[in-house]
This record gives sequence, structure tokens and C-alpha cells, in this order.
Amino acid sequence: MKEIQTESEIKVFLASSSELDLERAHVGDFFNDINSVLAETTVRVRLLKWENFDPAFTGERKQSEYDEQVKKADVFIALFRSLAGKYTLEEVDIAIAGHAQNHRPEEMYCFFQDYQENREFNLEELTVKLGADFVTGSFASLGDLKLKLLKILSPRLCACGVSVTETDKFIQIDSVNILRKQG
Amino acid sequence: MKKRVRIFAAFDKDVEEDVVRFGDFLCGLNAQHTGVELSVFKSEKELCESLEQTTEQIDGELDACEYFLLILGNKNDEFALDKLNRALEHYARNHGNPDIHIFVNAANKGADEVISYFSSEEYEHYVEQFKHNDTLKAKFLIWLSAKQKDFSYETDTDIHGTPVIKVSGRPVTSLVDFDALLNNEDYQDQKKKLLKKRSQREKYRKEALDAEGGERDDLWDEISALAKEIDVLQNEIAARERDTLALYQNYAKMTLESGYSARHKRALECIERGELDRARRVLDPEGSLSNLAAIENENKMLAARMETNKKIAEQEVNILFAEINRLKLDTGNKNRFDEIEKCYANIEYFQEKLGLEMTVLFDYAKFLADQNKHNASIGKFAQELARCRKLAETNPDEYLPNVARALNGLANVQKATNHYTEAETNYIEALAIRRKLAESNLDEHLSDTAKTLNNLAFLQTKANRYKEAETNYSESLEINRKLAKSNHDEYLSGLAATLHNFGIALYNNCQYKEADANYTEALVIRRKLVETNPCVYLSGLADVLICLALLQANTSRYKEAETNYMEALEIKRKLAETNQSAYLSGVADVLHNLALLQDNIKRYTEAEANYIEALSIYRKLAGINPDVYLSYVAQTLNNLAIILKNTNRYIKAETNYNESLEIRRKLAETNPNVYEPDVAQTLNNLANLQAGTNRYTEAEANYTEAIKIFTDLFSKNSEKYQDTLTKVFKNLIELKEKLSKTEEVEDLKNRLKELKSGL
Repeated sequence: MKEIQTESEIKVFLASSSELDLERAHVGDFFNDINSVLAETTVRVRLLKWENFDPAFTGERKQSEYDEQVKKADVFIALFRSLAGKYTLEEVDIAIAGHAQNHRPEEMYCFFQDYQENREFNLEELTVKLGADFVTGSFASLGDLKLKLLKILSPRLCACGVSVTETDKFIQIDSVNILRKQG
Repeated sequence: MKKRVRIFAAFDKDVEEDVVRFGDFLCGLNAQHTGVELSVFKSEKELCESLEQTTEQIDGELDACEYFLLILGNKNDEFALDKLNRALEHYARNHGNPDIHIFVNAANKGADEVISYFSSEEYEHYVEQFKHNDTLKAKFLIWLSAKQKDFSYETDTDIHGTPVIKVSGRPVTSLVDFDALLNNEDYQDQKKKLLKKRSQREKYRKEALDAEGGERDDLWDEISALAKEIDVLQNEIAARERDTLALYQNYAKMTLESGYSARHKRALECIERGELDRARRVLDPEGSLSNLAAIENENKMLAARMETNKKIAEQEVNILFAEINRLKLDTGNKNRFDEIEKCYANIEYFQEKLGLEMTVLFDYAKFLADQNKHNASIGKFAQELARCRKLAETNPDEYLPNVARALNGLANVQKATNHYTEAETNYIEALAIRRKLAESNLDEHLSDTAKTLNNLAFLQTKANRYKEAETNYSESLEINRKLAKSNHDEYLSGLAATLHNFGIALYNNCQYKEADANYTEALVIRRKLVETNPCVYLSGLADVLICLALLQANTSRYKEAETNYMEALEIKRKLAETNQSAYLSGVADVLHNLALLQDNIKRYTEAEANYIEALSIYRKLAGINPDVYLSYVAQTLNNLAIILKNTNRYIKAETNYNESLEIRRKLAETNPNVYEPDVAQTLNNLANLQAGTNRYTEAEANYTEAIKIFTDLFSKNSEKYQDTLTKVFKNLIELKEKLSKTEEVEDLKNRLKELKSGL
């Protein structure tokens, strides 16, 4: 069995409320797919989310650890559907503060899932709160979200020597089809 | 430096979410400081097609993987199963690599089917179940740690007392739904106690704090005592969790080291049932004896639990029997037979699982036989017979009647499925037992003896052994007439059955007058019985009407015959409305006979319509039970072809003859005594059609083959086959005369003479 050493990690912090639990799992699973393709390289995409580092494992959060984790991230991504939970908003605040202070996280994104009914938060107010440093957008489906994530990761992967290419039908990492483009 | 561990995960659509969550879990695990990095290749038909993965790519991943996981929710995904077969080939070639695990989502609707699909020895040791995704993760971690020296985990509880698995000090999955803990009743009891004590402690604490002046020392003492009890309970619970996982890991390690065995299977069953000491003993039979006390204790607890369960099951069984009786009378309920069958199956389950006496088997077998579910019925009768024989060894007085009953029931189904030899052997044994029991002169045993005599005679009639049949029927009739003097419905019914069956034997032996008398007497009795209990006796009434009509048709009393057939058809159609499986074949039988009658009196259109309906029913039934109904399909095709030929529709007629011939040839391969005459009959009919349409060569060949078969049959039973053989000879002679084959004609005439002179 070949042994490898992990050197370059792209850290992505994912913040979202519990209603997007399955979407979060899809993101983790997708990152694992990417890492499987990258297995022979020294590059990895790491997902930081509270399930992966909260010692209590029950929603009991330690503020200091959150600060640390969010500020460790290269990319911060917040997802919203109908709710804007207290913890997610806290994470957004930490990211904004960290970005202003040390430019960590370096990039911040916020995606609102398409939602036909009334959201339990004010979209405009939240957009104002996110400020100019946040890139905001929407996603219609899991495929759409994954495509957006790849586009965010692509420059960083390329900088690590990984080839990310786009064909008519697919996004490829190191020539392996990783995602089928929709439509 | 992490060691890369490659996993190939094949799965079906039903478990897609489980696989996504598993992939997410691996992603989180890889972020921890462990010695391994887990990379997974997911293989599912739509996914692979969507990403246009090539066969080489998929095979390459399969070749390289160290773990092959098949995660399933149903058994129909051929793509996933194909991957399993490839993995098994690799496993055989590469000395145990990859490690193969089949995880079945037991919460999925199709789980039972998957589990039974993989229940063969070839697969069973690969299969594990999970109800919750966390259990899948936990089981995978245990297997991983059993094999990978660079990977380990520990168990702990979170702040709410939920058991978790930790890797590098971080919780990675919860054990709250781990099967072995969920199924462990003691563990669950302890958890309930813990919750109760915690809530009690909270209540006291609140009361103590709210107390005016705060002077509630008594409550604080209670709280302190409860805290100690909670502590003890928590430790016990945690110890049991550790113990369960450690045993599971031992099981995994031993399986990996020494291969799977029956012992390991037993150990896993014990772990998953929460019988930890038992599992420990199975895994380590020569280990320390210090656990003996605990094992004894566990045995006692199990015995006590078993006793309680038995009582509950007995009550449940009684309720189910009562439900069956209710359903039997609920004639308006179209689903009642399905519901009754479910009740029987449930009773069997309770009685078997809890070691109760299997009193249900006979009734269940008889019910299945009544529903024409012959194979299932034979299985249940055989089980019942084995059970009663064993019990009769030590308690013959009580169980010998049951042995005879099971033998008689089994033989009835064997007779219905044309397994005459086996049926006769069983009837003879049943009769010997019943004759012996009847020496007591008890009505019950006498009636049973008469029934078996009746059944045996019926079988002998089928085999044209009329003399033996007559002797047995006469004895049965004598007993039944004696018993019927009591005017009891059951004995009257027995008398009618014997008269009816004896009538059939007499009819088959061309004793029409005697047969008519028997049928008529049976009819009178059954009409009387129907007045009091139509539910039970209507079917029998229709049966005797059919037999009487057949006799009348064959003695040119067409009008009476038709009236009786019509009455029988109405009854059978009515019965089939509520119970197709039992009575649909009867509808087809009457339609067939009625068509035959109409054909004889040249009412071809009506006859054809009735044959077509009968054929359609027989085809449907043959799809379910070919052993019984294929011969009926062939007979009806043959008869329908005769009408088609008589009305000049030769092509259709020939198609039907050919299909009939094909079926009959096939049936004759396994049962020549019964079906060879039918083959010869259809060959002759087909040849008639071919001769009539100037296809002489084909006709000659078919007549010749028919003569060969009938000659052979004639040598065994000249009386029965003389007329038929003569007819076929004449047909061939006529054909050869037409073809001016004078020498051959003479030769045939001489052969026919020789055969007749040999009589």
C-alpha cells in the first residue's frame, strides 16, 4: 500500500441551520469524492463543520473553538433555506470579524436555497448584515450547489497544481469526471 | 503520513441517503488525526452512467480496493449485485482480499427480501443489518479497527449520556441506535431506570430549592442518595456499552483471523440479542470460568423472560384462532382467506419461536390444501407428520390418531397433485392405524377409518383397480350407513362422500345404473345438508351434480345433464367470487364438461365459448400450479381443436392440437402411465385433420406413432384400449387405401386381426 503525505489543505467552513442537515452531508460526501480523486496527490479539501469538531456532539458549543475553526478556514460558506438560526448567524459574525481583522477566512460566500414559501428571516436585512465582503447567491439544487462549490475551489486547487477542467458535460479534476453539469 | 485505505461502495438507489451520510462521515474521519486515510469509490448504476464511468475505471477501483461494501435496501439492483460477484471473484483469487461486507438497511421495505436473498451459506457471513445510519458507521469502524493496526477508537458518552464512538478524542458517531444495544433488554431497562432517577432527582432539587426557608434536608439527602445511584447506573451502562463493542470487535477480529464459522455466527446472534455472557462463552469456550455465575444468572433471567413471553404468546395464539373462526363465517369479506392465512402463519411463528406445541400445523396444512396451495400444504403436512410421529413414540395413545390424520391429509394432497404412489403408501399406513384404533368401536375412529377407505378406493379407481376400489367403498359405505343413523351432519356428509366416490368408480366401470343410484342418493343428502349449512356443503352439492350430469350426458340424457351442469356452474361461480383459489378450477371443470356436452349435440358456438373460458382459467391456474393444471390445458386445447376442425377452421385447430401434443409429450416424459394415452389420442386427432387436408405423409407418421402407443397400452389393458386401437388402425388403413399402398394395407389388416385373435 502506497503511503502519502498530506501537505496542502484547502479548508472550507460550512455554516447552516439544521434544516439543511442532508445538504451538509452531501457537501461532506462530495468533498470526500474530490479527495478520493486527489488521493495520489498531497492536496486535500477539508470540510470544517460543527459535527466534525464539537467535543460535546450535541449542540453545546464552545465559542473559543468556533472562533478558532472559522478563523482557520480559507473559505467560509453559509447556507440558508427558510431559517437563519442563532448559531449560524454567530458563525457569520465570527467570519466577518475574522475577515476584517486578519483576512481569515479569505473568502466568504452565502447561498440561499430557492424557496417558494415565506422565509422566517428577512433576506434583505441579512444581505445587508453580510456586507460587501460576502459574495451572495442562490442555489436551486444539490447539483447546482456542488457546481458553485467547485467553482469556488477551482482557483485554489489549480494553485496547488491540481488540474480542474470544464468540458461540455463535466467538471473534471485531474481528468476524472467529478460532476456532471446540469442542462 | 497516513496509510491510504481504499473502499469500493456499491449500493442501490434505496439507500442513497445512507451512502451520502457515510461519505460525509468518512470526510469527517479523514480530518481527524488517525493513521489512515479512507478514500471511497461509489458505484451505483445511475451515478456511474451520469459520470460516464468506464468499465475499466470501475474494475480498476474494484481491483485496488481493500474493503468492498455492498449497501442495499432492495435485492433487485443487478448492477450492484454484479459488483458483488466481481468482488467475490477477487476474494477467491487474492486470498481474502478485499474484505467483503454486505450492509442491509433493515428499516427499508425490501430488507426482508434482501436478507433472505443472502441467506445461503455462500453469503450469510458477509451480511449485517443496520436500522440507523449510525449503526452502519459504527459497524464499519469496528471492522476497520479490527484489521488496521493504525486505527483505533474508544467509546464514551456525551453530556446527555448518549453512547458515542470517539476517534482521536472526537465523537464521530452515536451508538444510540446500535442494534446490539437496542436489542439488549437489560441495557434498555437500565437506561429507563437512569432516566427515571434523573427526573426524580430534578424534581426533588426543584422542590428543595423552592421550599420556603430552604430547610429541606430530607430532600437533599434523597438527592444525594439518587446521585450515587445514578453514578452506579451510569457506570454499569457504560460498562455494558464497552463490553458490547469489545465483543463485537473480538468477533470481527476472530472472523478476520480464522475465517467465518458457525461459532462466529452464533456469537454474532448472541451479541445482537444482547446476550453478552453467552456471546463471550461462544467466542472463548475454553476461557476463564469466572463468568459461569454470570452466565447462570443470565440463563435464569432468559428463562424467566421466556416464560412471560410464552404466556403472552399463548394468549395471542388463542386470539388468532378465534379470529380465524370469525373470518371463516365472514362470508362478505373477500379478503378473508388471505387474512386467515396470515393468522395461521402468525400462530405458527409464535408456536415455533417460543417452543409451544405446534398445534396449528394440521389446520394450516388443510387450509392451504383447500386453497389449492398444494406444495405449501405438502410441506406443512410433512412437518405435522414428523412432529406427531416423534410424539407418538412416547405417547402413542394421544398421538397415533394424529399420525394417521396427518398421513391421510398428506395423501389427499399427493393424490390431488397426481403423486399416486406416495399417496397410496400414506393411505395404507393411515388405514392400518385407524383400523387398529377403530377396534375400540368409537364413532370417531370408525368415521376416520371410513374416510381413509374412501380415499384409498378413490385412488384405486383412478388407477382402474375397480375390484379393490369396490371392496374398500363397500366397507366404507357399511360403516357410514351405520354412523349416519345418528343423523349427525358430519356422518351424513361422510355417507354422501362415499356414495359420490363409489358412484364415480361404478361409472368408470360402466355400471351406469348403479352409479346413478349412488349419485342420486348422495345428491339428496347434500341438498339436505346445504339447507342447514350452505357455506360448508354447497361445493359438495355442485360436485355431485357434475358427476350426475356427466353420467346423464354419456347415457344420452342431454337435457337433464345440461340442467345439472348449469346448476353446478352457478354454484361454482358464486363460490369463486369469494374464494378464487379454491373454486376457480371448479368453474373451469364445469365449463369444460358443459362444452363437451354441447359439442356432442352439435351446439358448437356455445361449446366453443365455454371451452375458451375454461381454457383461459386453466392457463391462469397452470401458471401457478403447472403440475396439476397443464394436463387440463392440453385436454381443453384438444377438445377445442375438434370443434374448430368440425367447423372447418383447420389452421386454428392444428395450432391447438400441436400445443396440446407438446404439453402432453412433456407430461408423458415424467408420468407415461397417465399421459401416454393422451399423447396417442391427440396424435390420432391431428392425423385425422392432416388426412382431411391432404397432408398424407404427416398424417401417416402420426397415425403410426399413435398405433405404436395404443398397441403397447392394449398389451397391458386390452379391454380398455381395444376400441380405440381398432379405430386408429382403421384410420390408417383408410389412408393407405387412398394412397393405393395395397401391401401395407394388407399388412395392417393382418396385424389388427392378430391383435384381436390374441384376446
